[in-house]
This record gives sequence, C-alpha cells and structure tokens, in this order.
Amino acid sequence: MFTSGQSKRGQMSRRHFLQLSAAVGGAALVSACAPSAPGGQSQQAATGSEAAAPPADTQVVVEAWAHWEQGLQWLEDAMKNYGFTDEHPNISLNKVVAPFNEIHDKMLAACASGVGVPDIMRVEQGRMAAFFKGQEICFVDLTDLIGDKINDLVLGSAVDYWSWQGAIYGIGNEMNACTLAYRKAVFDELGIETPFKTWEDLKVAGEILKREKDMYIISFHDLHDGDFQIMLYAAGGLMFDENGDFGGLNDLGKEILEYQRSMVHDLGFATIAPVTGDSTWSPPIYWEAFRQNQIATTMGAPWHNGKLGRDDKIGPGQEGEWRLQELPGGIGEGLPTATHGGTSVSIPKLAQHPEEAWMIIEFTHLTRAVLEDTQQRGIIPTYKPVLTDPILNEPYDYYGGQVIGELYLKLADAMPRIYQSPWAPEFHTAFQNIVLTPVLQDNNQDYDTLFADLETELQRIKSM
Amino acid sequence: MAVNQSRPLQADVAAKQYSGLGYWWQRNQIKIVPYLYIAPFFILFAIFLAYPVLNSFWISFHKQQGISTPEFVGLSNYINLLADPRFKQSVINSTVYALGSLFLQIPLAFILAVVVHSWLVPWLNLKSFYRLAFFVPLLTSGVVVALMFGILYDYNSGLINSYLVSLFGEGAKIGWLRDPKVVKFSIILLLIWQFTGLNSLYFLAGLQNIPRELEEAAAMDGANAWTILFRITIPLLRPVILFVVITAINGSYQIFTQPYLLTGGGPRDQSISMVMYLYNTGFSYFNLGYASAIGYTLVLIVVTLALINLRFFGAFREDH
Repeated sequence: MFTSGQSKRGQMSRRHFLQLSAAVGGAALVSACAPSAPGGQSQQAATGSEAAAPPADTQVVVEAWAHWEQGLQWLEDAMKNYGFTDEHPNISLNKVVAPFNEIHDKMLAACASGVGVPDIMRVEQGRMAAFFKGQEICFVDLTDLIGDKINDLVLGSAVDYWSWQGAIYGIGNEMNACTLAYRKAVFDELGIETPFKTWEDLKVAGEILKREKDMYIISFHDLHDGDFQIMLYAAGGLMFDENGDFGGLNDLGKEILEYQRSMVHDLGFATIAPVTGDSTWSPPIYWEAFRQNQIATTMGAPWHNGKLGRDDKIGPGQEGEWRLQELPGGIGEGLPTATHGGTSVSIPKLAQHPEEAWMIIEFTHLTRAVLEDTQQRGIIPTYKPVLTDPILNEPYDYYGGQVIGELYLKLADAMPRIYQSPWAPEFHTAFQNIVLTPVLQDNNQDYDTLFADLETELQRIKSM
Repeated sequence: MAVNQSRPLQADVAAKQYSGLGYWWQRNQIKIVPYLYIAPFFILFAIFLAYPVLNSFWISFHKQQGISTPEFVGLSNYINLLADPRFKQSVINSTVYALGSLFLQIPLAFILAVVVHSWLVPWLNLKSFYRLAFFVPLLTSGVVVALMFGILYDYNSGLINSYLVSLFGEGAKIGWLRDPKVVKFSIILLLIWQFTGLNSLYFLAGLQNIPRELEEAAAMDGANAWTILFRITIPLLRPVILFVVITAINGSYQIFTQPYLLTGGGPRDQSISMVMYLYNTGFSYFNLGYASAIGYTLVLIVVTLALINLRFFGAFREDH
C-alpha cells in the first residue's frame, strides 16, 4: 500500500515534486519581489532636502533614462563644459537610451513595480499623462526645490506639461514657442505682403499662391491634432482644463476646425499634410513636399520649424528664402504663440540618488549650462535669463539673416499656460478619430453631431 | 514465501546513525537529484510565465490605473469591453485579418503548393529553390517588412501609387494606409506576402506524404485531376489543413507589428488589432486591469475559434 506522497521503491511522487517546485518557486518569487514597493503603498519621496548627502569623496553614478542619445549627452557635456564636474568630480552620469516607446514602457514598469528605478527620467510630454493616473504619482514634486527660480522659467513650456493638481513633476528645457515659418521669397515674388497678421490674410494669400504657383499655402494634419492644438492655444483656448477634461468642445474648437476644413475642401488653398501611418507629424515625406515646392508655410515649435535648413528638414536649396513670424491672429484671443511638445527631466520617488539627480537638473536647467543644448541642437531654452545670450541672437543665414532669438524672446512672455490631463492619450485619440479625421478627410461639417459623439466617448473613457 | 525482516539492511543501519534532516537526506538524495536537474525550468516557468499569466487574470477583475491599489470590480472590465467602440473595432479588424488569412492566404498557399508539387517540381526539379523562396519572407524581420511595405504603400511617393499614376494619371492614387476603406486590405496583402510561403511549405510537406500509388490507382480507374484532388488529396491533407487554419487564425488575432508600424492603428482605428489595443491600454493609458481583460478576451476568442475548427475538421471524431 502506498500513501499519498509515496511511491514505489521510495521514489518521490510527481505530486511531491510539484509541491517542492512550487515551494522553491514561491520562495524565489517572494525574494524577487521583496525590494519592490507595491503601487498601493506610499512611495516615500527621498528628495534632495531629505536625503543625506554622501561624502564628497564617495563616487556617485546617477542613472538617467531617455529616448534619444543626445537628450542625455547634452546633460553630461553641460556638466563638463560649465564647471559642474570640476566642482563635483565624484558625481557622474550613466546614460541609458532606448527607443521611444520602449523607454517609456520601462519607466511605467519601473514606477509600477518599484524595481530598477533610475535617478532621472526624461519623460516626453505625451507620455506623462499615464503617470498621473491612480492615487500615487511616482515622481518627486519639484515645486519647493525649484523655489523662486520658477520666475525665471517660461512656464507654459518648462513645467505645465509635467504638472498636475498644483505639483510640478518635471522640468523641460526647450521653450517650444510656436511660430509660423513662411517662404518669404515666393510671397515677395507674387507681391504678397508678409508677415501675415491674421489667418484671413493667409486665406487671401493662399488664393493667389494656388493660382499663380499651384502651391498650397499651408498643410493641415488629419491624423494628428497638433495643428488644432496650436491654433486652440493661440486662440486662448485649452486642450485640457485644470481638471484634465477636454477643452476643445466649444465654439472656438468649431471655428478652428471650420477654418482648416474650408481651406482644404471648399477653397483648396491648403492640403492635407503628407505623412505616414506610423509617423503622423513630420516624416521625411512631409519635408519632401516643401522641397518639391508644394507647400509654402508650416507652423510649429522650434524643434519643428526653428531650423528648416537642417538636413532632416528642408535642407539645402532654399537658403535665404524662409522667415519666422509669430502666429497669425484673428481667431479667439489671437495670442502670438502656443506651446507644442517637450521632454522633461523628472526624479522618481524611489531614485537611489535623488539629491545628486536634483543637483544635475538644477545645474543643467536653471543656469547658463542650459545653453549646451542650444549649441548642440539649436533649442530655445525655457530659462529666461539666458534668452539674451549672444548664442541665441546670432543671425540665421537660412532665414535671410533673421535673428530668430529676438522673436522667441518676445514670444517667451506671451506663452500661454496650459494643463495636462491623465486621460490625454485617450482624449487625443478620441478627438482625432471622432472629430478631426472625419472633418479633414471626409469633409464632414456636422460639428454638433461629431462633438456629441466625442462627448459620449470622453465620458466613457473617464468612467473606466 | 516468508520474508525475513529481522535483518535490517546495511543502508538503514547507516542511515539511522544520522538524525532528523540528515537522515531524511540520506534516504532521499538519490531520488531528489534528477528533479533538481530539471527544477530550474519549472522554477523559471513558474516565475516568468505561470505567475504573470495567473496574476494578469486576477488583475483583470480589478480597476488598476497608474500606480494605485488595485480595486476589485468583478466583471466590470469585461462588461466595459462590450460597450467599448474601440475594442469592438479592434475585434472587427482582427476578424477581418483572420478572414483574409482564411479565404485568401490559405487557398493561395494551397494552390501554390499543388502547382509546385504537381508540375513545377517534376518539370524543373527545383524543390529546394522553391522551399527557400517560400521561406525567405518569413526570415525577414517583421519590422523590416512593415517598413518596406510602408515605402511601397506611401500615398505621395510610394512605388505602387507611382506606377498607378504613370498608367492612369494622378486620380488613380490609392490611400493604401490613409483610406479607412482600404487600409485593412493593405495589411492583409502584406500578411499574404509574408506568410503564404510558409503555409505553402506545410501543404507541400503534406502533399509529399501522400502515397503516389493512391493517385495513380485513381487515375487508372478513370478519375480526372479534379476528382483526385477533391476525393483523395484534400481529404488526406485534412490534418495539415487543420493545423494551417488554426495557426493562421491564431496569428491573425495576435497581429501587432504590421499595423503598429504601418498605420499606428489608424486611420480612425480602422487597422488597430486587438493586441495593439491591449498594448495601448496597458502602456499608453496605464490601465492595467482593463488591458488584462482585453488579453483574456483575446484568449477566449482564439480558444473558441480553435475548438470550432477542431470540431469542423472532425478532430474529435474517432476513426473506426
């Protein structure tokens, strides 16, 4: 007779083995999970003010994650070139770079599990919303650390995308003030006055341009709501309000959509932006259309149209023909600029070296060292004291010697304040699918029905 | 026959010199060692597969958004799925991809295999060449294939539209990846290019296992090629057809890379697959409970379809 757990010749039974395996596996699992901080538990913020500073001779390696190499390289170069490394030779940077989605997914997983959290995360504004879901936010509130220097920042670009319910969870170093880049040489040839004061002026010029040159004056994106967003902010509207609700379901939103629709479908002066399915803003074929003399203006932040002479934009062939101007008015409040895009530096609450991380962030973002990124990429910093620096006020040959720094300095004070939303990705997708694409692709003008459908979907998303 | 139990074995005597754990180990070490050798697999399987699978099932009954304590909501996530237009669209899209596999890709693969097996191979004796040619699309990375087709499908400067414009003028352009009515077909074409060869190889292997004598005997009895195909070849290929159908349908419902890279799921979610929606829900929207519910709904759909296929092909029938 054999009892359970025994077998012939005293061999271990399968049941016994499975029990043993489960026990060992369970033990391994428990030990693997031991250091983690479950989402439900409060993650204690070890901010710079609370963490004990290590002795100056202790080597500290600050780990930083980003989705592009230069996004971390400029931090390291700024530390070396502007004296941080001389002052703190014991602090260095370990750069971890991965593709956009992969690195942000890693960040979410690290935040959710509490395991393998870096000291600095560079979070693209579009992916920040996900971190604002739930009761716990995994980043350190930087408000007190920034302190009075908050007055030195262009807030619409520097902190708003990474702020939620009054707390600041990241700083962006790029002042993404939107402008309109226009091909002045073409308009001069046709006797069209530039810069354009209103969107209506653009319409008038568009007619002449189409007739005389068979060129479109502007392109509007039908699979990306960037154009709508820029025009909405410039009109004094909000993409999201302080509660995170969608802010484009109003007459202002209708007016902007109607302008874009009529320009494309009724008048034929604008075209749909040439993009690809996986890159819906400005892939190479977008810039090819400008090289082929198909489109004469483009609006966006400095990373989009600030340096059109770069090889990855329009590049050689149209030197001296382009200029930058503030956004046209005539819709809503008619602000001269808007904000669009950006990537933060944020400190996770479970970072191992939060104090050193903040030292690096403060040095690279709230001092002249931010100009390192200007030298490398030509960005306009969000740190206002450096906006008069000669580096930012050099003439740009591609824009006929225009000093674009002067324009951005002016726009810095006009930058609208914005809000982030925890449902931003879902809301953007819903707006694009239900309203924007049908309007621009199908010439659908039934805004009331489209808005009602969108409202239903937004409520459903929020209720989940 | 009486067994003499009065003389204890030497091993037992030795073992009794130990006590407790030592005694237990002495008695059992020979039996445990083999299991220790295979234990790493089971431990890793438990940690990295069994636990996540079971845990995600548990999470699917919770509301877990962002970093928060999971809140038990019962079947709410599953009920919400029924009212979710994006989920419905993803199911429709995945089903269309599966139907494309079923009615376009598999018949094409079968025809290709029959042609190669019946005519081209005996005629040209290039079996190895065909095998290689069929397999190359599968060897190519899915990412590379998607990028390549992106170049072909591009509206303004894509190879296909350029050719159409040269033949029929500017109006002949097709929005392969931009037109909601066309985009699914574009992705199905890509899948046909990528997977037809592999399925042909399966059919080819099946065809080569059918004894020639059967076909020859049927031919001698006066059966024509069609009769042989439908009365002998296809019935004997039933297990292969079943395998191909199930793997193709499973693959279609699990498609991710192609729509993700080609269209991002657009325009208007007309190409978003279930797995893509799952990914977006989990990572872009950080709604882990809902994403888990999508995952288990996908499992349910795939298993149900597999069972239907098994029943349809008589896999549960006992052969007498």
